[in-house]
Amino acid sequence: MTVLGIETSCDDTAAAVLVDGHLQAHTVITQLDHDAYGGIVPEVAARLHERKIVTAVRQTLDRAGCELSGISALAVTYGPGLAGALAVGVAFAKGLSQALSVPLVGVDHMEGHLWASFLDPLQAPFSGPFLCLLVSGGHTHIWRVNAAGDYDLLGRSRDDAAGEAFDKGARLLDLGYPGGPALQAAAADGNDQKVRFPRPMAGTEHCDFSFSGLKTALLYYLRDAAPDARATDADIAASYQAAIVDCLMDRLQSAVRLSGLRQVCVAGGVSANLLLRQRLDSWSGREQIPVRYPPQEFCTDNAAMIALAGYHRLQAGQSAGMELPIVPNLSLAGRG
Amino acid sequence: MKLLALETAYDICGAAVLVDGAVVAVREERAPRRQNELLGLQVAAALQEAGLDVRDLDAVAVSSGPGSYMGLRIGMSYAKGLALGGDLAVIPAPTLAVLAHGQPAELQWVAAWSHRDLFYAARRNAGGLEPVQSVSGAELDALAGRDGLLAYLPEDRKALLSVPLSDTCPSAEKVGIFVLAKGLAPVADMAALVPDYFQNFQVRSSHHDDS
Ligand SMILES: Nc1ncnc2c1ncn2[C@@H]1O[C@H](COP(=O)(O)OP(=O)(O)OP(=O)(O)O)[C@@H](O)[C@H]1O
Repeated sequence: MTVLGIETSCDDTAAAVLVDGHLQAHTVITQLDHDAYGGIVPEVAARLHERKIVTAVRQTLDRAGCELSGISALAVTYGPGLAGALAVGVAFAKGLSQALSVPLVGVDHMEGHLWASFLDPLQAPFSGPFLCLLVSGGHTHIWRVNAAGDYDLLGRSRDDAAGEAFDKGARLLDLGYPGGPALQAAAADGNDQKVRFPRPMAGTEHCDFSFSGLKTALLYYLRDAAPDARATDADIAASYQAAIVDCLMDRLQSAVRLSGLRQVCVAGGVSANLLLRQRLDSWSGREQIPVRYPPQEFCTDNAAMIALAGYHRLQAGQSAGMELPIVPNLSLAGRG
Repeated sequence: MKLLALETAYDICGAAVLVDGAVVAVREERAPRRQNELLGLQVAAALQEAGLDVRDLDAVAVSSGPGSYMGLRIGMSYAKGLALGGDLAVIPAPTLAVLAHGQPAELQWVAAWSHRDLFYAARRNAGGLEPVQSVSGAELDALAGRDGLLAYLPEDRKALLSVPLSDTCPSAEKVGIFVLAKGLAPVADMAALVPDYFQNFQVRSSHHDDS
């Protein structure tokens, strides 16, 4: 089965071709125009998707060596995201699926992230339910993935997302944006024992997160530390990063205990973090719990993960009709 | 020539199939904010009634604005997907020109309600339409004067205007008829095609502030 995936939920126009769940080619055209506005402007995003969508699809098909006539199904993100941006992808995918007479399946953007780890051709897929720690700029979730389209939310951040904690920390330390990579780089030569930051929620018997106290602790440290006693920026960054990663590991372990599931994947922008990956690897070895993460390029928004989630839905016999709605506030929680 | 025509620029959502100049099937309804859910179904039903497949078509004509941003976006993006998959030509049809087509020449102005008290308006002349503008009801009254105005607006907005109104209404059928009557050419590269939003989107200054 050859699936063409399309993703336009925010500021990336993306397309991907998968054959039987294996990635052939993908394209991400990132909109740079928003930088001038200091944030994503929804109407600008929608108009840029309109200019790029055909190009993204054509390029992807070219790179995959795939003819339009070879496509057997389409998968498209129908939420959550910006209404106008989503509309471009959904309407385009409807027209294309109708012209090709192939099924169309709607994918939740967050659902795409849940499957992103399995885009790595070297990683064997899990069989049966697994846990997914989804950590991005806007979300910190732990999901139980039962099957395609069947997900239970086990825990979430009660305040800031993990990526936000990185971004806000990096801003306080004047490290630039996006904060995650900048903070990781600054922490590289630092001693993570130098500053003792709190680990909110650690040790609790649920799977929720909290990061706002951590950010506040950093703020106070920077404000109150006596100049001669103050740690170096590298030490502060290392200590702060270690605190975030400790929280993620603690909550993930809590989820493993509470759910009894012993296969784990990680997804979202923060899953690119090297310290997190190191900690996961050693935990995985120690506990004999297989852990998967996405290839770096699939940690952030892309259409390959949408095509893959769509592929699993199609395999499970699901597809959408021409009525597929656009749902800007779509939520995976509370379904199935 | 087998043509599919689409109209989604305002609250009328529809699809029409024209074969050799004759309208053979139409699906259309007033469906504010439901274009996304409806359009594909309408196209499928109209094609079925016409006994045609997407790939039997030569071209898709689409109402290209100005109009509702969301409506235009859905119609145009859908048309591009259909055209890519069915190897069809895409022909954009300026919405106000479609509204004015075949209407009495004495009515020199054509307008459609946009939002609040604003209208998209254009002056008709021998060559077609002079560049479109966005004007308030009061400005439109002054422009159209006693000549009267060809207009598409909801009943509850008619109080915004005092000039005598002559009703017109968007429809997929008119899009098709207009495109054929004017012999409009398809665009060379539909990848670059975007609706005529008429206005460049202005980012309000608040967007600059909240970085
Ligand atoms: N190496 C890294 N270490 C830590 N954080 C990182 C790293 N790389 C990226 N991030 C963080 O990941 C986030 C971006 O991830 P992503 O693009 O998945 O999220 P988003 O699109 O902002 O949010 P969402 O998808 O939830 O709406 C940012 O907060 C960024 O700082």
